[in-house]
Amino acid sequence: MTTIRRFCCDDLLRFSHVNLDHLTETFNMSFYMTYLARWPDYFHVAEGPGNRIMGYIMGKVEGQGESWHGHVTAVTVAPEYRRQQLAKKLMHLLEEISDKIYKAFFVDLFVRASNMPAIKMYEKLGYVIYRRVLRYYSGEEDGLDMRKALSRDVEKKSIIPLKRPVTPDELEYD
Amino acid sequence: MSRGGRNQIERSSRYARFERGMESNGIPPSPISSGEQSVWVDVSPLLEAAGNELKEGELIHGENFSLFAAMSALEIMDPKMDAGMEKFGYRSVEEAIENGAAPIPFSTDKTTDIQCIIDVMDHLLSCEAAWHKGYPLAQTVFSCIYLLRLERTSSHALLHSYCRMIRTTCNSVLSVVSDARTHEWKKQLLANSVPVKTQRRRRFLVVASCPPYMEPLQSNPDLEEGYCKALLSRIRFRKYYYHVLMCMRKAQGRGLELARKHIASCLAELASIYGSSEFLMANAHGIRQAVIEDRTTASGCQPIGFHTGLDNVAPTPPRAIKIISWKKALEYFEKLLQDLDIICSFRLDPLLEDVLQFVVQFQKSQPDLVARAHLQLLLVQDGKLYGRDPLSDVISRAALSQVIKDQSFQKNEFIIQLGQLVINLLKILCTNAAWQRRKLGKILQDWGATAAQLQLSSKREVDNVLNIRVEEEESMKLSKHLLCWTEEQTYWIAGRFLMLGFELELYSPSEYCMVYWYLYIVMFKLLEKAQLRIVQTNDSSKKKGKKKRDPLKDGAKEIQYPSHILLLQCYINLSEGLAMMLAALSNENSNFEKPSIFNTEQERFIQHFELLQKAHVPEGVSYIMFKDLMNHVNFSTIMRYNYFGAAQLIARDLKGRFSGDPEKMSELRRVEQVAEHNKIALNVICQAGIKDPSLKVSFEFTHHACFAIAVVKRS
Repeated sequence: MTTIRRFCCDDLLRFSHVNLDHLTETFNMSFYMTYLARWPDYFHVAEGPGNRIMGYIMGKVEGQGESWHGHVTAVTVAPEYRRQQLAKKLMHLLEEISDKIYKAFFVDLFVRASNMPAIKMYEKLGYVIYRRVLRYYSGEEDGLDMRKALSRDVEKKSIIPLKRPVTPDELEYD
Repeated sequence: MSRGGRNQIERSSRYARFERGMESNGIPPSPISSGEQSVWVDVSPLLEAAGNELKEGELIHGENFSLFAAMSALEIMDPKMDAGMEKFGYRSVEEAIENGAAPIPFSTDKTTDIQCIIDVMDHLLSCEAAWHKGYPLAQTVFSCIYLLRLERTSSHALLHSYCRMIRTTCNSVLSVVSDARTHEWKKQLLANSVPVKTQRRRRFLVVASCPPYMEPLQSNPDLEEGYCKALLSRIRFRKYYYHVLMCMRKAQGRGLELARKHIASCLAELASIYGSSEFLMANAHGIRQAVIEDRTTASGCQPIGFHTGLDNVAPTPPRAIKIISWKKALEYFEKLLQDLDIICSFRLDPLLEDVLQFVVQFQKSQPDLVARAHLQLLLVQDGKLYGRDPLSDVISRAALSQVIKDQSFQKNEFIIQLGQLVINLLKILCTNAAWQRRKLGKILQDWGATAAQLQLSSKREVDNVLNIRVEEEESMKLSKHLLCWTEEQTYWIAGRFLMLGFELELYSPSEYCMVYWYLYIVMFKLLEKAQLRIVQTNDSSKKKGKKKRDPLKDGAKEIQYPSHILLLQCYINLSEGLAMMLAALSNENSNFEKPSIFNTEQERFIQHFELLQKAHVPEGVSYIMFKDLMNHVNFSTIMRYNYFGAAQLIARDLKGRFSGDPEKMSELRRVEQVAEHNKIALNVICQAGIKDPSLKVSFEFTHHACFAIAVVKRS
């Protein structure tokens, strides 16, 4: 049975098998710790039988005025636990918190332009491509900024796609 | 704060800076080690007292120490940030030296001193091999304290010279790999501020100053000869290795012949080094290494003066590494030298197809990065082949069988474009198999795009044929020749891409049929283009010939195709035969390899050939075409066409042509064996009856890396 609970420090020492996936970024310790310290309610882990970590999600909330939004920093599921809509559950959790607790206008995330399975998954979850960020990933690959409007954005203004691609220095938030 | 966090602070603060004012608390300062402007004082009792005051859940909060700052400061396994990290021994080089970790001399007893220096030399060899294999320089070669503080060794001539030589050779290897820019192994190879560079042009001193009489090396006369031989072989190996690296870096391959001589000497010294191990083990002195098979020294003793993790300036924590054993290090260097010898024996052929064949053949021995970087730098220097032949000459020789020195030809946009593509291709062919395959797939589109532009250019000229001037007619012919050659190269790249898939074991048995079918088509098109180019070139040379020719005689004279074209024909027959056999097995035997339940056959076809299809290599090929052709194949069709028999016939004819080339002869033997085995297997299957349920057919790559043989068994 799967348990989705708050991520804790010890989980950092147990999630390397989830991060072995080539599309999952592994940050340094202080990066995870700052997220845990600042946005603990955005940091969840799905734990499976045998207390094995199946996947996790980490995010934050930032912005001002109508740009107040939730952001998915990382969401990943270990390969052996995929195709069970676990990412969908983790994403819904983040969206719920952004919507109900933080009253954000939208949720956004960045995804590699070549990562078609992920893009399709986010589109199924209701995300649209808001803009393309040229050479976002290590100055080589483009990234797609995908957004999903929340209930506070009644007119869905936040997800009207931009007409042109942007460069990383034009981004308001990293 | 948790108890663990409190302990963390206690430990980490043991070495915290201490304001002078704190001395008034009556805690006696006890200096540990000092810097220029400060004195270290142990504040553990104070912090222990403060820590005891903290209760569970309480957090220290100061003006500059918020929760965010606290979290940002947490690191694991970073020696600078993780005070709780287990440090294996010393915190710095200086501390290690102060504690006698790198004594000079090693011992006052000369015999022990010599034993120790030989151990250091052996361990450095193992470290160097580990570095070449991909481990960080800081954790391998530069875990040697003597190398890190070279000036200390000046009183020990042997050690000093040897260390200088290590630095020089490491620098040379670094510059070769960095110049080759292979993208492989960048972080490990490019040292993070380890002091590699030395003064240039310092000669390698075997002995600083050698008096006319020879002092004994050590104090035991019975062991003198053994130690002299052991030491000499190691020093000479270094010397010759250094010369090999220097000679191979000479421009335009001028030093290759001399490099071969040094390589031969190197190999001889390696054999002597290996031979010294029995003597050194028998007279070993110090602490033995735990696992004797993994020993990094010939004597089996722990070398003095090596510590990892000192002066670690890398931003990421050091990963655990295992230094290669001494025996494996010797094997590594032996292979490296053999690979370098193959490179040095290359005749610097001006013909591009010979260069490509050489590189492909060279890669079969799976050379390591250092050898491949040397090859790449030999082939491509200053934008020219061997630093000598402009790419325009290379292309004109390859496409037109003659060198055109005309300026307008050299500045032709297609020639420049093709020149870039050729340089890129040569660089890619020098990388490891996995990277190579990935890049070859990607450049197919570039080659395809250039071919399309050439086609457009020649078509435009044909459309204007009525108003064509002489120059335009020449330009049209040039575009045609270049187009033919470009297409030929594109198919060559596609063929290489597909065959590398076999070497990398990327295909499952249920996919062999489609892969051989695609390979057959690509090779067939390659053959077509190659033959067309030869005919075009022959026609051009006939027209240019001044003698009056008899058209009847010329027409009757058959074009003799080069041997590599005939070998290609062999491969085509084998590919076609295998594709047909696999299709027939699939059609007629329900138990034969069934596709997996996860992806359909069409999905796998698209996955494997996506890059080829995107580049239209070749045009019009699709999964539907594959299925239409393969669905009706049966064993009687295969027996009628005798694909493997045809391959055998060509191989037999080629033996005469390849008789002087051992590598080509062994390739022919492999091709013959594959053809023979598969022919027999076909006969067995036809006689036994394919529908026999006890018949089991599998495919193995026993004789050739790319062409399988059918193994028929009765269960």
